Amino acid sequence: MTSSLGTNSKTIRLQCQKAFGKKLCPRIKNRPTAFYLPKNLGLGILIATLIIAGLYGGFKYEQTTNNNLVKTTNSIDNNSKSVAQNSKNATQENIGAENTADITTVKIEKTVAFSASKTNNENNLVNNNTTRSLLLKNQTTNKIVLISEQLVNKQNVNNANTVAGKISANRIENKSADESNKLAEENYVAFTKINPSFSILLNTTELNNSFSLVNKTLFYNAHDKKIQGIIICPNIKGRSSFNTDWGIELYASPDYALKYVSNISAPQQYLDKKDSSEQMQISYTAGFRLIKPLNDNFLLKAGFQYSQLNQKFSYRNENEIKTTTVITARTIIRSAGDTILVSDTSVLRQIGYSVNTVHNQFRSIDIPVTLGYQFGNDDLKFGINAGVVFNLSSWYQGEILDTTYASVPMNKVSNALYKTNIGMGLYTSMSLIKRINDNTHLFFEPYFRYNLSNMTNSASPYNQRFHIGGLSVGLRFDLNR
Amino acid sequence: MNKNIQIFCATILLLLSACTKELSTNTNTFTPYQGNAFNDTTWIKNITGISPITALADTLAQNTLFTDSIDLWKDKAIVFGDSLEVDFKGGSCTNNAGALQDGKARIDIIRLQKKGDFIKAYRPNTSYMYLLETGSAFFIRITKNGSELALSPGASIKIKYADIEEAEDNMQLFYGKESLPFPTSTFDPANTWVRSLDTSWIKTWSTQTNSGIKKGYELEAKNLRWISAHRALDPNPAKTNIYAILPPNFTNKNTAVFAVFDHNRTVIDMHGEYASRSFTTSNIPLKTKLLLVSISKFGPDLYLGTRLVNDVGTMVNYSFTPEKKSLAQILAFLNSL
Repeated sequence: MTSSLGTNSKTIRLQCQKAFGKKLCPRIKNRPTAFYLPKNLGLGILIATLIIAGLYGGFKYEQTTNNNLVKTTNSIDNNSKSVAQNSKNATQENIGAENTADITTVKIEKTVAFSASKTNNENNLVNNNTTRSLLLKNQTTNKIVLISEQLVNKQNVNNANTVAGKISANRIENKSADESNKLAEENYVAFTKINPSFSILLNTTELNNSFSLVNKTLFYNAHDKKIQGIIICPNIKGRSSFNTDWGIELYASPDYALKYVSNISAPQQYLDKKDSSEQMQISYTAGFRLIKPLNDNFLLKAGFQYSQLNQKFSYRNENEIKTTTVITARTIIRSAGDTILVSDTSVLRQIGYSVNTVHNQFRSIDIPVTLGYQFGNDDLKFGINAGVVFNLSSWYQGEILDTTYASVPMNKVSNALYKTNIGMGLYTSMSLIKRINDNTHLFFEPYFRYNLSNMTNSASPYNQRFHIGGLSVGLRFDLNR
Repeated sequence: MNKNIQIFCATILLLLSACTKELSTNTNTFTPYQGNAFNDTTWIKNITGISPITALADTLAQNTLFTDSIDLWKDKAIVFGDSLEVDFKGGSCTNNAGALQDGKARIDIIRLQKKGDFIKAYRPNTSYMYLLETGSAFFIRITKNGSELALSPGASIKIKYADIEEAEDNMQLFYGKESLPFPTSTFDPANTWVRSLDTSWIKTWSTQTNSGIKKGYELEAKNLRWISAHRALDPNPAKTNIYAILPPNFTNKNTAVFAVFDHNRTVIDMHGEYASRSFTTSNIPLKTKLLLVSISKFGPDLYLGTRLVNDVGTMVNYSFTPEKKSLAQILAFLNSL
């Protein structure tokens, strides 16, 4: 049920945003502010996740409930005058004289208005639909009006009844979910009858369904006391508020490294030979990044990634001798008329050259930290990113040509040439982000990493570093929407 | 979303687990050099002058050359140390047209004493198919203005020398028969020793010197070039063919194989037999103790192989693998035979 509601809420929000724009539609919190992990992952991961989620959710719930109580009380005091003023002008016959709702709290800032209507009836209609959570723009006053529903205790309900006792005639307390849903639909029908303009505005089936679903969602939420209410703070001086969302990106990337070598004291012939013996190949990077949106456009990302650069090392050994055991049968004549068959095992030796091919691997673990700017609509976004990549550890495996033109192995243990930490690199990328569902985005991110330090140590007769280009492909998940 | 996260987490774990694996794979491809003599394993039916074995023979021709000048019209005793004396009679040399020559001329003498000398000169001790035992051999050439001269009919040259072994009484004079005149080519597979028409025994001599008693031969040759003292090995024992079998790289184009007798100063050439891809010779007495010696040339590289045979007849095919040696090593080995 929770999952279904969550899906409906997302659909509603999407449809609402299509109709009214993003800022007019409320954010609907229909799930805990915790990151769900799949149940069939490792038991330890699941337990740890549940513990963390439980602790965090419990803390958040308690904190939010306390805040709601304070905010509700304050808002009732502040807004009672406005509501009362509006109530005087309301045509109460259309919506019933008595408000018997147990859980209704209205938070109204400055002027209560609804849509483009300028009549008092419309204000009453707003009050009559307090079971909806709508953020609409008052076109007359150009003010933002927030009407929200919250779960409150009895004391709050009493206050609400005092302040907005004539707002709703519908009793929703102790009703089942179906009844609540039906009640919401009835409210909607009554609303559309009273307010023709709104009816015209919502004349499409899609939007009707949207509001119906909104009602359903809110009624369900009203009964689900484990889910906290929704508080969305208004913008301050037209600026968007600090984004509390988190996200995670999981990605993998095919890479290609550009090798840069500068000579220190090595013979040029050696560097030429080394260069001709090494060929970079397709490599890869995989990792994850946590995303902290700073606002609607700026993102801060930090994560953990594993990279492996592949290099084909081919060298030619001259004057190699290959031996092959051969068995030869011969007919020999010991004397006239005395012939015997002799089988002989010998070794055929061939001289030539051998080409040894070794696949070298340069591996590293890094922490990328980037700042991104993204723009576009909800379905498709573009972004640019820049930042740094801190290397945690690097290690190598394969063979390398030494100055005597002999192939020598290098591995994690015996590596006198390369550093185990290549330091910091600069990172820049562009990204294309496509929504594939409400919480999941597919992104493509061509990037380039410029390493600032050489990977060779001071004993090396040359400097070498890699600059890496790649195309990250991954999924971005919104964690707490 | 959970499913997507699950898939990605599994992918990441898979990638991270790959860190511990040794993914470096090596491949080694071998390509033989084209045209390299070492890789040529083909045999040929007829040895040609461009075969490596001709170059091998020239390379091994490192016998000591004695040189002096003579007056063609005067007698001269040419003495090389205390073991060789050549008595030249004046007025005994003619040119190709048969005319007597006078004036200054050059005389070159190569002396073959040890078994290894015969290998170096590629002069095995055989007369056609019969085995011989040598009492030393000489190559004597007189040239005037670059033209080689010959002894006039009836004239002779006397060679008195001390031998390295006890002088035998039944040595006979032999002349070398050549198909490719030395030194144009050292390698002459058709060369053989032909007994002189004078079948008398070669004279022997002995004399007391400060270092002891010296013994030797004194022969009188009526022809120049290859001259030797030989005798036939006992023709009566039972004989057999023997075969030297070498690895496929060693063919009749690049390898010469000799059978060096242990108890006789006899060296036999084992020719390459195309049919059996082996080196063989015939008429080897049973029970003979001998040493098979192969010398090969692959470009600048020389190979030496040996196989000691203590008792010919128990086996007749002998396999051995030559090893790469330097020219000095090979010459030192041959000189030790």
